[in-house]
Amino acid sequence: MNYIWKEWKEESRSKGIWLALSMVILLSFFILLEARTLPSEHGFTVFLLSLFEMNVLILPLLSIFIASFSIIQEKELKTLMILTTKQESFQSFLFKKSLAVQAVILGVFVAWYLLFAVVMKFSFYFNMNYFMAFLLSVIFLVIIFNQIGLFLGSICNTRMQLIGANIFTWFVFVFLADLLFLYLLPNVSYDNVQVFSIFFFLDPIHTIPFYLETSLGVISVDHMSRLMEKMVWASPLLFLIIDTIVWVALSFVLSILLKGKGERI
Amino acid sequence: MSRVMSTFKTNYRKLNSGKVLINSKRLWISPFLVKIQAFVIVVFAMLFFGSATFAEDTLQNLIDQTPENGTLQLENKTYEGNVVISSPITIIGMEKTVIKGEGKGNVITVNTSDVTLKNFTVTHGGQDRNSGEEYAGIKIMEDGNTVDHIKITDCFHGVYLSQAHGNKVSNVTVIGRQNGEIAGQGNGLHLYYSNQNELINNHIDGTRDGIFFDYSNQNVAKGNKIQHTRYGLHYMYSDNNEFYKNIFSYNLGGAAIMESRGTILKDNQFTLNQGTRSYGLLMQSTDDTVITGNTFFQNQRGIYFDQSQKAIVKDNEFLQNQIGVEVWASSSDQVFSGNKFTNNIAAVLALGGKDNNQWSENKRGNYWGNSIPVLDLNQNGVGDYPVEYKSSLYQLVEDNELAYLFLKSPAISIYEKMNEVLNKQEVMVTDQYPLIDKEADRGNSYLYIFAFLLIIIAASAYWKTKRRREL
Repeated sequence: MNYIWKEWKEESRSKGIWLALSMVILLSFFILLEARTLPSEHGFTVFLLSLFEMNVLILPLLSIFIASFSIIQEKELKTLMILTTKQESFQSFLFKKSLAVQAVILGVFVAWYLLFAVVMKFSFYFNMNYFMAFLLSVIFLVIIFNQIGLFLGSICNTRMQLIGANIFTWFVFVFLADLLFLYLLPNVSYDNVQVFSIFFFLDPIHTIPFYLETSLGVISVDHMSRLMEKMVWASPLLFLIIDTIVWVALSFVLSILLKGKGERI
Repeated sequence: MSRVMSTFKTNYRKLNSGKVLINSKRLWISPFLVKIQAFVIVVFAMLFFGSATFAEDTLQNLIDQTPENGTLQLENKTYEGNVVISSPITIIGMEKTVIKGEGKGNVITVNTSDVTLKNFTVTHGGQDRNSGEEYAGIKIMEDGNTVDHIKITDCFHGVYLSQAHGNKVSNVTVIGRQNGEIAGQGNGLHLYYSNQNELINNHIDGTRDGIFFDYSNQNVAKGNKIQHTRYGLHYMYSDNNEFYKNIFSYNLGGAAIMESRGTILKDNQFTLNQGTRSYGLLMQSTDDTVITGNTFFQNQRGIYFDQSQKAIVKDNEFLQNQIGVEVWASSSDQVFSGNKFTNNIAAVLALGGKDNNQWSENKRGNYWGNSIPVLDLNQNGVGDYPVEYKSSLYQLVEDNELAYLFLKSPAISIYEKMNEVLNKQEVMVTDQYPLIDKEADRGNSYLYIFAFLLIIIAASAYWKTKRRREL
């Protein structure tokens, strides 16, 4: 609890999280304005899909930056050294820090979307189940990229290193991975599609939108081709849970194994 | 009935007196035997007359007793089916009137003309697939009947028109199983060798196909809403049918028109039909179709053309689809004009070879939005030069079905840009007379003005707070 309180005080006093939030707020309103002009009675579904498309682009970047800078700050202010010298091991520090960062960043974004739900309710035919699926997708997206941010913050020693690592990681997830998948696509056949599927669904940028689209009823997993049936070998929610566990656990373990001690003077 | 009773009483009196004449001889029978005989006769009589009395309550009897062209008003309760209607009558229910079938066969079979069914729920029909017949909630086998404001649940097909012409099916709601094995589900409305029927304002949800046309011509479907099905409209070997203002959403395929000619599709909405094999409208082996004023919104493909010829595709809107129009080289001589392509990931993909279609008519091309920059210096609303729409996505889509999983990816724009630089893009469309959408440009500029104002307000609020703190 102390960690969460400390994290909240640090985050709320820094401008980072508020700048990130203001970007999300501004973009949310833009998408709302655009969605209101769309010619469909399914406006709420389309709005949630558009909003999530925007989130897929910017939330990973914002989460990675906020979480990683939280760790690097501990290194720069030497509080990490003090804490780990006296009472904490790095593992327990990282565990508590992860919980605190997740709680604060998730708290801020979830609070915003709950508040924004009121605006949605007045603008569309509001569907609570659809909104909850959207919120759950945002939560999973933020959790995964927060933990990746914590990993990057743990392994980098300076802010400059970290900025480079953050942008590179975001670029890999959002752009480079898909370009690689597209390059490999002509070699995918019915025989090897399950191997492809494992890598495809390990990418949270694929799994989370897939979960959202199936939850909103936009994509049906009932009438799929043989190839797709073999590709989608588990329920979208199961893919999502596996994905989250893998990325959070992997980031946590790698953070401990590859931790940097901060800038050496 | 009174005659039977009086005969019975006379016989009973004779029996009771112990005297009966047989073969003109007088015989004496013991009173005990007489009483047993009397008891048996009474029981049989009661059974006979009793059953006749109960039968008056069954729906089939009520239907049979309704005179020709008469009206049977049903109460707010559940009636047990199945029933067969063989004379022209009107059956009207109330809000909670339910006709519950036996779970086998058709719940209501109409095998005469001029029957009207109105305001009730039909449920629990036969689902047996080993039978030679496909069962339905309401099966109509004659002409000129009306089905109005009926709800159908737990039946294989909803309404089945079998060689029935000139019927009207309106305001019917069919709720299917929503999911599961395809073969285990029936269709919402099924037309088999049925012509000149009207299907108006029906709502179909979660069946195999919404409306299935099989060898059925000159029918009109208007204002129907079909969702969560395999194909909203499945259409085989049927000619000259018309579809107006229908909404097809959340289906694997909005409408699949196959092996047909002379179909008219006007002012329909094809929305949110997504999945790797999905489309708003599939045109396969169809000729002379007219597609005007429809909206294709958020579909995997707006229209998919395969082996189809001479369609007129005019004044439709293709908005936010992954592929606006996917046209295979086996299709030719389609005419596209006045269509508006906005924010599709690929406006048009021509697959399997060179495009053989016409992208303008009477010097009127299409609106291409941001897909193609168009110059209009003389401000006449038509581009000054012919334009080409190029893309490299055709190769991906041709090669592998899974390519559709990546069309929404942010990486696709980089992929297209890379291929543009490497000169790997192919011409998908050449529009000789591209159109300019002035209204859309004005709409966007309002949005930019609003965004600019918001940023100014936020910046000035921040500056004021900072200044107050400094003071």
